[in-house]
Amino acid sequence: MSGWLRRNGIALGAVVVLVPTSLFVTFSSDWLGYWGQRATSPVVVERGADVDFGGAGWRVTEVQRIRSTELPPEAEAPAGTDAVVVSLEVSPEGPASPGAPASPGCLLDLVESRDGAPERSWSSDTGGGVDLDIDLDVPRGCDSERTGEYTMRAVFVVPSDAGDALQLHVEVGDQLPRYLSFRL
Amino acid sequence: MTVPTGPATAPSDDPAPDRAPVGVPDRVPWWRHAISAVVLVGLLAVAGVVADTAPSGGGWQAPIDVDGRVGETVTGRNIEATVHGVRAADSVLTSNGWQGVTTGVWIVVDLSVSTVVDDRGTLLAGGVLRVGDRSYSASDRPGLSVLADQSLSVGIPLTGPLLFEIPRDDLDSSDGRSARLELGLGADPRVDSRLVVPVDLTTLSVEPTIETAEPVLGDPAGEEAG
Repeated sequence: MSGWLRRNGIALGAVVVLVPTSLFVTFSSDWLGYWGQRATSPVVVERGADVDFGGAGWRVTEVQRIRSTELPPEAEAPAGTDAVVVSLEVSPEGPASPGAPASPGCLLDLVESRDGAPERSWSSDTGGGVDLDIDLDVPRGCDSERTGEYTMRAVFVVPSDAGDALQLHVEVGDQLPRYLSFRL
Repeated sequence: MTVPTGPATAPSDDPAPDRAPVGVPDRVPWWRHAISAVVLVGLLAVAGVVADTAPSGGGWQAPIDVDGRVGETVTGRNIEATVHGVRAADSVLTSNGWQGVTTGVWIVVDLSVSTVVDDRGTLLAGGVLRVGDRSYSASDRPGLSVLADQSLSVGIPLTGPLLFEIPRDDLDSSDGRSARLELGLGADPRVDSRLVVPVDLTTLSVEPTIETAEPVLGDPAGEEAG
């Protein structure tokens, strides 16, 4: 057997090299494109810290968690839920190029980490149905037309059993797969 | 007479006693042939098993069914639902005043549904009542007074009705005995969980009219527990 291996060593080595190479060449463009468009590479930001990312400075200034039982009926908060309000300060650096937005747009998600279970995430759209009496001039998400510093207040509605290990994920389109992960 | 002698050969130190003479092929031991045959048969058997068990056609991207029963919470990858009850009626009146009259019959499914891990783009658009080889999609004509096409939240149940308009003959058919309610996210249920709850339509009594309650988001029980 060892003689057979010696005689066919070059061919076997070629198979070992060429088969994975062929698979990589065949699937790499789809695979890399798929992962390149998903938020898979977090930039972790500790509580109270700020960070420059995607053409702006970012800092979480306040986090509130309000039980639905603490809200007035006119707030129309669903029973058995909490409203999590995250204040996020954004300092745009200005347009990266002529015609580009003055401030980056973004997607916001509140993510709960759980031991031994998949993460759960809520988009900021879920907070639209709860009236927290926030000034209408205060943006609920990223405002790409702002030229100066501003603070948004993103509202998330989560079930009361959601834990305290929460992070705010901020995705800026042209920065993917990198995204900000603020520990709250 | 002299006997011709061949060229004198010097005594060799090469031990190689089992090497075949030049020009004569090596003799392969019989057991090597046997091993090759066994390996070949084994590979063919493995290939046969793989070919026989591998998903074929559209099977590899089919929905992944999660079976449940009425009154039981059924959980898939990103959808969780509890079917509280199934009723039948000649007409329905929903909470927004929409009235449905039909020459067939309305099947009213009361349920609670939520998502499990993610709520981005999650609509309850995959509600189907399957009776034999016929499938009926949940009606979206009553608008926001039913759960069809409503956005779902993670861990926060949305409770309300789903309405299916079906031919009256299906109620008492043999297929109606083994009807099944299918729930999934989006209109395309492929490669994701699909909750399946069997429903026996033949046991339902047809009421003249059913008034359905307004869909409610939230879990009062969770509030009391919290």
